[in-house]
Amino acid sequence: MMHNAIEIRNLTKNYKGFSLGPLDFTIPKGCMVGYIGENGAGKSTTLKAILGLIHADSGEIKIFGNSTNEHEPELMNKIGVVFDAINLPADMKVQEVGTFCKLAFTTWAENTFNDYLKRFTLPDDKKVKALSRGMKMKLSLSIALSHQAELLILDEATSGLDPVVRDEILDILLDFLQDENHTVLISSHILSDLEKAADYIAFLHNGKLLFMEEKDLLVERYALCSLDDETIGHLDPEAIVGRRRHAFGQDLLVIRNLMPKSIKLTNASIEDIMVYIIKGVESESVAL
Amino acid sequence: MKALLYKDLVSSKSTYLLLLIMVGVIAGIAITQGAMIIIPFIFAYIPMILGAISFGYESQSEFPKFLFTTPISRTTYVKSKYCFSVLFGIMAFVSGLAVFGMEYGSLDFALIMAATSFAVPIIFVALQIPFVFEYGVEKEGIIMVATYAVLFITIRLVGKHLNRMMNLVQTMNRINSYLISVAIVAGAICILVVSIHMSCVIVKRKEY
Repeated sequence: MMHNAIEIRNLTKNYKGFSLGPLDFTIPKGCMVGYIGENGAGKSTTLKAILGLIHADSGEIKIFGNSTNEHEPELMNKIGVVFDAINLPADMKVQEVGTFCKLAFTTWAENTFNDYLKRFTLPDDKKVKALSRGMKMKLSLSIALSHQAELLILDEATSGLDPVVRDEILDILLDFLQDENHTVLISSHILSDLEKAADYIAFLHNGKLLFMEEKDLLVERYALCSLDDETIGHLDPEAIVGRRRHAFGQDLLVIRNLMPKSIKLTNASIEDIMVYIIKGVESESVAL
Repeated sequence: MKALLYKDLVSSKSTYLLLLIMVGVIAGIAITQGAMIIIPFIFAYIPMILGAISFGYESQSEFPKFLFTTPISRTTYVKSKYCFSVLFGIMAFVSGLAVFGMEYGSLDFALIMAATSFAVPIIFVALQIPFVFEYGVEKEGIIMVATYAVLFITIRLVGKHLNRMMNLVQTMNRINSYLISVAIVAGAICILVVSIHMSCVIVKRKEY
């Protein structure tokens, strides 16, 4: 019985001016992993490597135990993909997209697709080019969910969508995760969405994975505080992950259990953690 | 494969309809002007135009990025691009056989011309497709212009030297018109196979 949806070992990909990896991480089945990082950190490159859209320079990627080096197109029946754009010919009608997918996926469930079209109120006689961004994303998600995929990969799929649509999409992802064999890997800049739904957060910075941790542990581990320079001088330097200076002292992202009990701490959001780690003046001393 | 052919048909219906009308008009003019030999060569143009349309639409929407997240392999994708050329090659062969047979009353001559009509679209598309895969649809114009120029010159030469060609064919007939026709068709198929293989290699190493 395979317990991991994705296993990545020593993955590297080099471009002029940017190197991804070496990356090593494992995504267990049945969870949602939020893949975060600033623009150009290498999130899309990783996802494309997983999907075989780009060729890694080294390393191995396994999906459900199958190495993508011996890429079997049939494996794609098990993977639903939603990119930030729909990548379908603009003149195709929604109904024709369904027919295309029926011919392309051997596991296509036409009824499921039609149900999603109804649920999302997507008109099946409309051309792809006539759909709004939100509708395109819903169509893309309908496709991804209609071929009995066990793994969903979403690359910035919710960016540019209004909060209502994003919430609707998150609900669907959470529904999808009700099956313990289903897994979601989602990259997003909207960290509040991941905060609501993700089980794990994988944080990529400059092509390197800084950490992949359970979201709850992450939120427990880090905290925020605002202190004057003198008090900061008495702190364990290992406790300070990132800082922002201002006129009255500094705002700090700290490791909660390395801080004195007397200092008042507030909870850090995933966004705080990401921003402080990237922007923190002493980011090189991050104790992860 | 069926999925890709379906996508090609539905994603550019109006363009195909326009193309069909144009072909009808050209064929009509050719028949009324007594220049029926143009008809088989029309079939040489069509697969090139269809290829350009298909590549154009795909490039616009970055379709391969979606396609390769479906169970359709890169090899199937490549092969689908050659389907229309084979289909129109066969149509060119049949129409060539009929037109040249009726015009010149010689089956041997008609057979060789039909084989040539079959080979022309196959060879042109075999040159065009690996080029487009390698250099992208933006540079497709260069190969299109080059192939159109070659095709235009070929038609002009065939028209101008038809009698000389007939003599040449009659000389060749002494060898065996069937053998020559088979050689032309086999040559075209070999070029097609090499082209498909080259395209597969190019597409497999491409990144999307």
